Amino acid sequence: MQSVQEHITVPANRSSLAKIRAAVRALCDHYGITPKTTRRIVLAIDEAVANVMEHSGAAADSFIDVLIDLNPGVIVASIRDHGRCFDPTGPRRSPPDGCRRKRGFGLHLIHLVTDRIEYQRTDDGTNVLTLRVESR
Amino acid sequence: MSGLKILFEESNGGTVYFELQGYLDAHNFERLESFFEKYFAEGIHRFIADIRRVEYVSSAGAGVFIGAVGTCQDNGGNVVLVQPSQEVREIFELLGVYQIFPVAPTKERALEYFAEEAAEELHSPNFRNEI
Repeated sequence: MQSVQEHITVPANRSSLAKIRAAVRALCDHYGITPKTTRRIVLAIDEAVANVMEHSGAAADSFIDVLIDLNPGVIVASIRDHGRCFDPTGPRRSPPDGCRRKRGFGLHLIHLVTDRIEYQRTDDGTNVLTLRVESR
Repeated sequence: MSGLKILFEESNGGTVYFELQGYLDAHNFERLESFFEKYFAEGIHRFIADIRRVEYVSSAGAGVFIGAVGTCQDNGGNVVLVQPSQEVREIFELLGVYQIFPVAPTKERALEYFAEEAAEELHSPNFRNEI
């Protein structure tokens, strides 16, 4: 398989999440990515984008860019937004404490299903979150 | 709000059976949350959740179930999962909460589970039949 890139731009509101997931699934299915790897990358991107929508303060009519690089053996997704600075690579919240807490597990899941996470804040105020998922 | 269908029926004895179809994510999880809260307000804490047709669940959706099962178990009830889809099971296992939920192969078996629970409570030395 050669490397393939796909660029998805969506409004920064939660109704866009299903569209992003569908686009990522279609890309993975088209290029023969295993179902397990597809589920991991879909989940990671969905959780990361949902976090941006909820926590970055980005206006609902602004946009989020998702750039996906399919390479042999590894998928790299970069999520860009222009909201507040938020570095999700730091110490993450603990997993669910039995049933005492029902929100805030997104970062925990991202860390569980990805092989590497990198964050960068560019000089023009763009947040760039890069997720790396190795094919299994 | 699209993507999630909730089909439900109330059975005698205060148990609610519902089937979820579609996906449960950060956009629509509040619908399921409101569904549970409506019944909690009525004092109902026994649910059978048929989730075989749930094609995707995110942390927000899982959180609704986690919160609901905690409330139910604190009030003598439960949320029994019927045939969790692979996606649901994977997320719950990743979060380390799958074992909290009773799981049944059918709605009928789930109803039997609640009947057995009620019978155990009836015969428990701690049960007091107040008149």
